[in-house]
Amino acid sequence: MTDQILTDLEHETLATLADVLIPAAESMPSFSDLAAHKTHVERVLTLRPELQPDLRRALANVIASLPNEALEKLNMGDPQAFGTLGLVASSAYYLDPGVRDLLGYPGQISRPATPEEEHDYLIDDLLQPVIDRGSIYRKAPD
Amino acid sequence: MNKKADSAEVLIIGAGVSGAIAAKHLAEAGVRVICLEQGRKVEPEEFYGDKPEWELMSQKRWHPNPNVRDQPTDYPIDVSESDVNPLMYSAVGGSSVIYAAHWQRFMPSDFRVRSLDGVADDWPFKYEDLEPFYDLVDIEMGVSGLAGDPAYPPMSPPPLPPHPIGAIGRRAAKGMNDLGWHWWPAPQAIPSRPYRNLSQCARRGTCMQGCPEQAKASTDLTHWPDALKAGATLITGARVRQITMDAQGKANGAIYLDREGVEQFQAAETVILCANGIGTPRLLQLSATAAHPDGLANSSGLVGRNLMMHPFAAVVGYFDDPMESWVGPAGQAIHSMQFYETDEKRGFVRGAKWNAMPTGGPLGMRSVYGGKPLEESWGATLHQSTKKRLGRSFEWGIIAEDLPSLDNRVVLDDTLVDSDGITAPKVIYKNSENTERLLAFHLERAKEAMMASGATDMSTTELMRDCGWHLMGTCRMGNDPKTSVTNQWGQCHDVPNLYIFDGSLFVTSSGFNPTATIAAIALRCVAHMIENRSSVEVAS
Repeated sequence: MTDQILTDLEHETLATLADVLIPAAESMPSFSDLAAHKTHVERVLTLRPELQPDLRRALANVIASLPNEALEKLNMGDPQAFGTLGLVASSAYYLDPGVRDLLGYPGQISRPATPEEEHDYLIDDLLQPVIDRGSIYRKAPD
Repeated sequence: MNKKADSAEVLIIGAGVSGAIAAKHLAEAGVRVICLEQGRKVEPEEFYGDKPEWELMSQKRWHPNPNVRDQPTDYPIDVSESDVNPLMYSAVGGSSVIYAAHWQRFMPSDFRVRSLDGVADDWPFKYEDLEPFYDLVDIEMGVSGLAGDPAYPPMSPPPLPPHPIGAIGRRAAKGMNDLGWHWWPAPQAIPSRPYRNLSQCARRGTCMQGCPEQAKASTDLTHWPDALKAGATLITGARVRQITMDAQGKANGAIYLDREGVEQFQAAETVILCANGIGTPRLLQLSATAAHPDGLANSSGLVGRNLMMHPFAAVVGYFDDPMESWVGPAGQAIHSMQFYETDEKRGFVRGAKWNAMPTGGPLGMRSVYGGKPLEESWGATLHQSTKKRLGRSFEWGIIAEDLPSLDNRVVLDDTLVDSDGITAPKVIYKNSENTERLLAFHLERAKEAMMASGATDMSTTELMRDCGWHLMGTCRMGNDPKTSVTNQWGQCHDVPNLYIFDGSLFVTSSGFNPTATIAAIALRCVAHMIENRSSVEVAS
């Protein structure tokens, strides 16, 4: 508890606002549908501590029952804080393995190429039209 | 001030590409080399490319703009009067630690811009003079590519086979074929096989935030191990604030601050500046003396002037088919020189190289700024736009040739200082009318190419402010001391034992990523220095 960057109330407020930004839609879960959303947010803020002041400003004075109004006010009145809120929410969201699975995104995994993949454009003649057109560089004088 | 007991035969400032090449070859020739580098060696576990937080960290810790990154090894740059932000990285390996490793030679025409197009200037040597050194650095770096590109004159083949062009490369190529436009599998300093100190590329596509596989040719891996083995000394955390001069008008060393803030002096017989197109003119101006009131080696008035930074624009195409467009290298899949050479009917001179690149993960470079209607980016729109882009897009990037202008320059700032109290540089840079016309033309062509590839939608970035990757021209070479800072060997006209080997030397910028040419020129210059070692002027 003592190592947690945001308080439980701040996490709740963030989740309420983030659910407007990242709702359950298009077959995707909402922000707070993610069981580990607090863990992801803590990770984001650990790696990017400079985001904390703007985020706290975004979360301050929010009336939790009126998240849409709070976001509109923030969006127009303090765009930097709004942007930070959006960045924290979306980056935490896309860290989630379940979200990545739904998107079909494995992450930037290691997949070294095989020799068979290298020259397909020569085998199926994709490159041949370029070869056939010949040289296009401009000769230069001495 | 502490004076270093051992004087260097050659003192190199900066451990990036040109500094590493100079250090390796000089040390292997038996020269006593000391290199001062303000950064440090970065370890592969510090990179995030193999971690889920990669995109998050690319926006700050691994951002290419030192003003955003704000690391202890960075120095600030005043860009209040610049259309473009200069990008760089201070470390052993320099900016090659975070470059995309596009490995492109200049064209023969790039060395004869004045003769061919009546603008800018000609270089003091031609493509054929540099060609043997291009061949050698291809081998030293481990370049992967396919021989026979008709956009280039015939050349030695790269040492390694090309990377697969992948689904995005094939899609881009299809569009180019439909239009009858040039493309070729792109050359890159990223090994397609295990090669010397480098691992085989794992195609994570995170090249521009450092390679956790040690599979990208950065000179901390390709050159520094050899240089150190041959006896070179590398002092990191050494921020140089002045090149010093003796009474005979020769450079005799450098004053630097170590990480305890203690001032040190390193004596040297010969000094080579390899601090990039911003750092080198900054240091020369910081080193002004009564005899050199406008900065060292600046009787021409050109130190800091003619800054060229390659304006960059891009078109991203979105496709219905999944293409796994996060797969690397990034790097580049294919390139095109269809519109590279000058055609004056277009209303501008010179041209641009295009590169087809992957488009990363789900976070993207999502705008962090508010002020727009919420529904434009958030809510259901967020999910729709992520699904539209992720894995189903690629980017045509356009690197435009930047003509030299005296008004585009690096000066010393009036008030800004770095964390050691050393005056910071200021960049004054405006895009030219030629650039604007050139980019406008290329953007329309790139959109055509995307349409021909079957894109269902596109987004365009007309000029990316964070595009100053390539820092060139600020201490140009030439045969006439009135119109150049150094001769063709990087030797300063005004100070015979002071040399420059980095991109500051460039006379014109071409439309190509410059690192291959920086490397080749550095190798040519150092080879000449070694060959003529007995007659090199030195400080006593």
